[in-house]
Amino acid sequence: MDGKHIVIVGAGPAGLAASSVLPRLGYRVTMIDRSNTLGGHLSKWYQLFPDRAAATVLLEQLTDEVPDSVSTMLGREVTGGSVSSGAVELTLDHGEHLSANGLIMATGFDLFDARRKEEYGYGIYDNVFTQAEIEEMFRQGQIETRHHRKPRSIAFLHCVGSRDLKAGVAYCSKVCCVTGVKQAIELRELLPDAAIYNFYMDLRMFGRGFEELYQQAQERYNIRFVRGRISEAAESSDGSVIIKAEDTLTSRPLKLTVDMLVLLTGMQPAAGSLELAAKLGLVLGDDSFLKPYGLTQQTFKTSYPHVVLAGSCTGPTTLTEAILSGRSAAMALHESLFKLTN
Amino acid sequence: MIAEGKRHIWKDYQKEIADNNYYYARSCVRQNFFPASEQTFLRVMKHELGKEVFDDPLHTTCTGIAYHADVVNLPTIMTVVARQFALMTRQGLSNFVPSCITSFGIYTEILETWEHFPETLEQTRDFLYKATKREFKIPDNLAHSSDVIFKFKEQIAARAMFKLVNHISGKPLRGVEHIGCHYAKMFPHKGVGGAEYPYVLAGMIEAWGGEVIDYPERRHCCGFGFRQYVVQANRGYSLAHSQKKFESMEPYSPDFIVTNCPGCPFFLDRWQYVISETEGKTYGPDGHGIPVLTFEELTGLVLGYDPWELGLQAHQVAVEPLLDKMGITYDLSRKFVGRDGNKLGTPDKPTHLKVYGYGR
Repeated sequence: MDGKHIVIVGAGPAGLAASSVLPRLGYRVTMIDRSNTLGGHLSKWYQLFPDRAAATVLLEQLTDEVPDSVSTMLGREVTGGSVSSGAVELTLDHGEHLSANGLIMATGFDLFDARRKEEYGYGIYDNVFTQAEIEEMFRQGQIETRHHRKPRSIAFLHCVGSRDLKAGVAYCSKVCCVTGVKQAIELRELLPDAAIYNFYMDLRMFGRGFEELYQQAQERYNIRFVRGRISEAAESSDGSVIIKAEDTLTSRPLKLTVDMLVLLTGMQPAAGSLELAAKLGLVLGDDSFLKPYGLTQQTFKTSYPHVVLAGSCTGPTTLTEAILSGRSAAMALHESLFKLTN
Repeated sequence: MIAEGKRHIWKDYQKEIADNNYYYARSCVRQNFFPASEQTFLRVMKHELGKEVFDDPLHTTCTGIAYHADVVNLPTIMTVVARQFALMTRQGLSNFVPSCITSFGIYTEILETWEHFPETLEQTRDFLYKATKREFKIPDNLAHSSDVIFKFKEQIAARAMFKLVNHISGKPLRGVEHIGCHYAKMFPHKGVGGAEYPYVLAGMIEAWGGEVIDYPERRHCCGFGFRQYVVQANRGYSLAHSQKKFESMEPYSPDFIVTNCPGCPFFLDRWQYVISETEGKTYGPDGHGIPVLTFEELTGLVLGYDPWELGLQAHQVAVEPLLDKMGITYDLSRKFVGRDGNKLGTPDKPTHLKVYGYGR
């Protein structure tokens, strides 16, 4: 499009997908990310659900599709900005200014801060982890407690910071259920003799292959699923974690000591996303994610025709959805700019 | 355990505690359980810290126990609470300090209710006026008496005669802090440190040289829990709760337990005796129990008050091992002598629990 300049804020899967499309349509593209690496959360993951594909392979595919012409600015933050008719002005942290004809917000999500669920003792008890830390252990090829011991028992707790009104989070984060199942299977492969539990309120296995993975976890991998949320955790003198819960299927209270407790934390709007949205006057939904024009149609549009939304900045998404969303948002912006100039 | 993690949470649960001019509302049961504690609070506040505290003989029970036992309904307890506030207002005071944790929970709950449902406040004003012709102002500041001692813990440390340190080994004494359930479990932001990792008593232990024990059943109720004890048929639950806590804290070898609730020190003290009699089990070394103190008693010991003036002879579990560790001298022959010089009588000696200065 005659060398028009598009800025993509966010170099996660949605941003990468968008940046692979736009140069081929004739745009000059700049992609900015506050992180020093491409891929967002994907870059920290080991294997993906439901097929256990390597995260590094997907990240390579996504980055390979980004043409060399895309200017990538990593480790940079947008500190100011404004949107006017047909133009977007952004200021970066070193005082640099960018002028663009269009903007794609692909600012992603942050993981819910597990310390806010104080009763589970994350950040206080040595052996309470999040799924992100477990994923890092998978990447390092070593699962061990904080005291460098091989765990004999691990419990996953679902919905930490999701569907929890007391934590101010009404929405479902969508991917934690299947992540818990996937990680439990991966742990079983590494720790054949360990007792592995999943504490859940219900399991939302909506995606292709998810339900099958859940069935395999029970039948083939001997993962124990307990319907009930953990009410509190405490640390014992040897550093193991004592958890209390109710098994709601048997209506019995349950007390269990495990070597590791893994909190499956939900998604929340990225802090950077909220800051930039405030600067640009973009609207937030009740859930604080960026609010698109519609929830069924026009899910990329904002009140500005030349600013579109992509990926999980609009709410919890799977990787598949984020990639599709990035490409679709790029096309939606192209259509919009085409209409504006023709 | 990552200490910094707790400090991160404590930052979110700071509360405003008035600096002076308090209206003190006593507990309806504490003076029977541990008779010198409230007097010790007044002594510390007035004579050590130079604060003004009005100790009003006109106020009544808050009726909290009856409320939680479904004997008194909400409009009635609101009116009783309003009368306490009217007495405070009459004294020209606005900083309300209850001695009892249940009362603190009641006052907190009612103030929150009035804030969110203003019509209940107007109804309460109407009820109180019709019943007593009294009017009241809502307190500017509500703090439990343990909050107030927490506020001045450093000043107390500066005046300390004894530290929570083993005077022979120089090592910190290890304390279990037990917080009354109604302190912050209902309204975490009304308690120092919140509900999950309260800092109100932990802060005192740290300031006075001790070390806080975090054990798995730390959050668990002492066993008073009105429906567990007040309902006679449920008293086994009460005992089981306390036992669960003792079993959980025992491996950490606590030197003492400190509490901020009327029921907790009573049950944590008395049930150790009951368990020793029924099971032959004691939780301290060599047949001793774990001494249980109110926060006022602990404050008094640190300030060098005479143990028998603090009422420590009213405890079932002997506190002498703690006094010995702190280097506090005491006269066993005066343990059961009243302040008027008359003998109080001595209790029967327990079968297993080691005690000092007892008769038969």
